[in-house]
Amino acid sequence: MAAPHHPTPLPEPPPVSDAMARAHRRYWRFNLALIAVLMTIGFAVSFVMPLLAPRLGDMRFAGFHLPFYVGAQGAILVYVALVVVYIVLMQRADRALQAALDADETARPGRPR
Amino acid sequence: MRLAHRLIRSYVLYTLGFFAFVFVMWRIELKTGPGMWIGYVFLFVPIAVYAVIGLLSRTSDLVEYYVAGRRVPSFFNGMATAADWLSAASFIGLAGSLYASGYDGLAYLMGWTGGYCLVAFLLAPYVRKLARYTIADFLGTRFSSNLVRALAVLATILCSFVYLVAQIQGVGLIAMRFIGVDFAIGIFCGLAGILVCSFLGGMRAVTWTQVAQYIILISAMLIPVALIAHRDGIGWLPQFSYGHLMQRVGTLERTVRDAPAERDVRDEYRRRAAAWQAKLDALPQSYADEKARLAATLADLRRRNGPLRDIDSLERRLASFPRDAEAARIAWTQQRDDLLARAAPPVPMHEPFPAHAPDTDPDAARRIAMRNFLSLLLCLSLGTASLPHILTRYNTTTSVASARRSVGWTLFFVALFYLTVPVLAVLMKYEILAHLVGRPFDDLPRWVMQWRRIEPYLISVADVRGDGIVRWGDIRMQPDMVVLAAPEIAGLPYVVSGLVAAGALAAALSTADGLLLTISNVLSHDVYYHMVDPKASSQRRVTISKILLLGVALLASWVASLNAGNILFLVGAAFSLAASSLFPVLVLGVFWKRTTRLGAVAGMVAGLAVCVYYIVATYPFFTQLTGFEGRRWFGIEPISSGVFGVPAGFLAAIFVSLVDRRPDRYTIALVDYIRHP
Repeated sequence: MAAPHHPTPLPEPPPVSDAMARAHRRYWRFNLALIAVLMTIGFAVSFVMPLLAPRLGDMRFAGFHLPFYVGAQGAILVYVALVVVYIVLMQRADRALQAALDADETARPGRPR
Repeated sequence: MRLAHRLIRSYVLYTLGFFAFVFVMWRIELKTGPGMWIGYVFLFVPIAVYAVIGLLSRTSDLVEYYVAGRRVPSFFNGMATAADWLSAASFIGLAGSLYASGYDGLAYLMGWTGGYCLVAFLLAPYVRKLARYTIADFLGTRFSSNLVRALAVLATILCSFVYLVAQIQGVGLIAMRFIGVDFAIGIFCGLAGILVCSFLGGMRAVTWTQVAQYIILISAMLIPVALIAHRDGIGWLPQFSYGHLMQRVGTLERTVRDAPAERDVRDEYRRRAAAWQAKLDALPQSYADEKARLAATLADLRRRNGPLRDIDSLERRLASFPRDAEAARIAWTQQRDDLLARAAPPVPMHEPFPAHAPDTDPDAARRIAMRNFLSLLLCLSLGTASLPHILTRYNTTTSVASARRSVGWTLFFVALFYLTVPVLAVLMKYEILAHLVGRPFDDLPRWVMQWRRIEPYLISVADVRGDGIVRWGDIRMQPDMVVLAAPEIAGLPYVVSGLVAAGALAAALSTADGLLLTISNVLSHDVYYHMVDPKASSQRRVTISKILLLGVALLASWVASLNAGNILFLVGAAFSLAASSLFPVLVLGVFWKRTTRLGAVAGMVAGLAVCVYYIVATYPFFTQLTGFEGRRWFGIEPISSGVFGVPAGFLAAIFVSLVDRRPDRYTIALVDYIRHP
């Protein structure tokens, strides 16, 4: 197989300090945990609700049959909420990682930015 | 932020201008009465506007051409992706399938929105971080392999091309219905419309026309629904208050199910189906008999100098008569099944997983229906998350955080549309049940007369019971008509019909542009530049890309002009294909460092092979073509073949990766680089 070549060479990640490696690990673990939680909620709404639908057929919500409402409106609103939560929390995590990076750089002033 | 401000100002002006345009057209219609010219104006004025935007955004810069300079603000990229996403099928077909199949249709709604959660969590941020030009480029770089790249190119082309053909066909149909031109001419108008947006400016031009197209298509959905809902007394914002209307629809549906006259109509259909069954049982003798009988009637009519119209219609029937007994079996089985479907009692919209066939075990039928609902839902959401033309759009954002925000905006704009679609379906069902059923045949509404005259196969109302009153069972309406004819069914001005046509056209054109660009970009960037001529100058690469774009567009239009209806199924299957071939490697490549080059190859090949095998073995079109028919696994429909393809892809990728050598330090560092913003 021919070796692939990079038209714009990827920036090689610079060697990182222990503090930075820890910050990166924390960031990634938080990301994974957040994804797991949000996807569980999404999974419950998408796949468990239809399973229960035949049994919940008589329940009403604002004039809707509950299973139809969840499929047509509820699930979509939940998805929007999940994505919003993810965006907000990940932006906070981004900032924390950036703060760790800045702290790391001030701790070692000799390194070029 | 000057760019964002300038964009907001331009698009606000554009939106106001569009509303003013619709308003002026409405005033003119009030003065002069409706006419065909409204259709022309609503189809050609928007195309002219897109052409101007496309011309203004022309470019020959590489980064501008491939990824719009990576400086599209997340809000606008969200809007453009929503237009990219909402296709002719979403705009025209979805409300119809909810109208026809009720709860079952919700799988599309949930799958197509839920998929964006996966895009936000698992894909878009990482695709943007690596900042490549295409998805094949992303995979090729991650696994440092041109073989992975080639497989990704294959998968991209496979799922994008059929989808593209379907969009062009959609444009042809819209042009045919609204301005009455020939289908082939409609297609070439569509081709021109597609090329003016993408040819000169690539991704940059497509992005800015897609934003303009989204504004038109969302107005074309929200405005008619608000007008109809307001007239039916549930307010201007029916999205959250149509439950009460659904209750009224439910009551009417029960009446229709239990009324003796409706039962008579259904019994009549069952009798007709039984007649076909008798003919089927007597094959091949009945084939010869039937043909001889037709020929004899024709000869008799000719001898007696019968009415020319009857002779004409008989001649046509004889000409289209099945060529042999085997063809007759297929055609007649179709006839019988159609009649049997119409003989089944109507299912209430809100009821999940009804048992359709009365003769089999209803519990088993219900279980299979539920299984198919869930697997379709799964395939559609995984497919949404792996369609290349959506994922490449996130390459145009400014940063990882902006890509994430952009997915949020996409989901918001897509949700705005999908929250309205079921409202339209319910409104139309109410309209038909309350205002058409029970009317005497002498006094049919005007829209029925018009549509019946122009296109009888789209809407037909036949007095089956012979009592001169329209019954639910008498009405036969093609699901696509629910959106296209909605303004007329609700008695709105013809301008609203024009608006809907413009919206449908915008939906088809925007998706077609995104797909066309995706295909020509993988061909020019991944095949030409990475595999054929790595030393090509950037000027040359853009030129090659434009030539390829033209070629792909012409090829797709040619295929669309053949009008082979069977490809429409493949559009649904594109989701399964994309999910099976791309989803496992895309996710594993980021979330599991141990994934190796060979693992990726195995995963893509296995996923694609299982998915394609299942489709070819179970979908009637292919089984008739190849003569080979496999068994259905767990009763799953061929459209959801991704249910088997995705696990196969994951298993193969994981297993082969574990057997393979560990990835080297460079690859580990690369994955770390992708993971962190």
